[in-house]
Amino acid sequence: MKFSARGGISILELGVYLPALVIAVIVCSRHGFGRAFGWIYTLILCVVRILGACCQLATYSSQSSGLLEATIILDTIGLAPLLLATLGLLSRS
Amino acid sequence: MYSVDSINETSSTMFKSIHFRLLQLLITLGLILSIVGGTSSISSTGVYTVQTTSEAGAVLYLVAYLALCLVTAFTVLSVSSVRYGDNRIVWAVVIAMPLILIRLIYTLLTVFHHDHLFNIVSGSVTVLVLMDVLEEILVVAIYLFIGWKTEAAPKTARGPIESRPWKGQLAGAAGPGGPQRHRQGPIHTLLQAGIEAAHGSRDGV
Repeated sequence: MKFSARGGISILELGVYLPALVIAVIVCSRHGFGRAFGWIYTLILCVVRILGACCQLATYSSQSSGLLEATIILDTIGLAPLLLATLGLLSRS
Repeated sequence: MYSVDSINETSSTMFKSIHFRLLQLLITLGLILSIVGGTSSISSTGVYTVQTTSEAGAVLYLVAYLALCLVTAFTVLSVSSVRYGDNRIVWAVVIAMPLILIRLIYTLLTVFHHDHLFNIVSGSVTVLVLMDVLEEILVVAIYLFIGWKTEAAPKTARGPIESRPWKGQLAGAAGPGGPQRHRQGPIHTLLQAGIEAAHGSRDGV
């Protein structure tokens, strides 16, 4: 049982970003997958967050430092898709 | 026509395609620096320290964010010349910008301020949730909602900024022909655009 608050956050992220992934795929297929449009970055962000949550949950079972690195990196690059998606939306409108 | 393209038609052409490509480059650089900083931040003994490259990446994010604010402000001011359906997109971006700002502040704090509260690994969880996870979820939700509700852009109505090629040919995305069709990297394209802008021979693509 995961009593840690971080584990709870990861489970919450999984619960939010897995449906969001489905919606993002639908939105991207409707608007276009091109990088200039910006919608693909919501998709990338969903994938990144899901991976990050899985890595964080995996640190409970194995203490390898590579996993910790992965968690940190995935957290750090969370800002870039937001900015790039905004840029894409602005270039369209 | 989409708004910055249509604004460029109706008022002075303030934003050329090159500005957008510069911004893309800036954000991508920030991303690369952050990744590099993140990979090297765990020392061999397992201690987590923030690297200079992470700090540089965070600063680049900040600069890019400020530039995005400028573009947003400009778009909002000219909101009357936007194509009807895209009004919602502009307002969605306006709502999302403060949330992205909070996320940005969180990243800057974790990178620059060495306090036990704002550490990625061992910091306070409440802070993490309130500033970081929540904002991302909100922004993603807003953008996906807007994407769901808005119709796709018809291919014939795209202006030069929206149909800008991501990488390579400056001559635009449609059809064969045009003076330079061989693929070039973005840096090369930017340099060429700069040279041509200096010669004043192009009107901005």
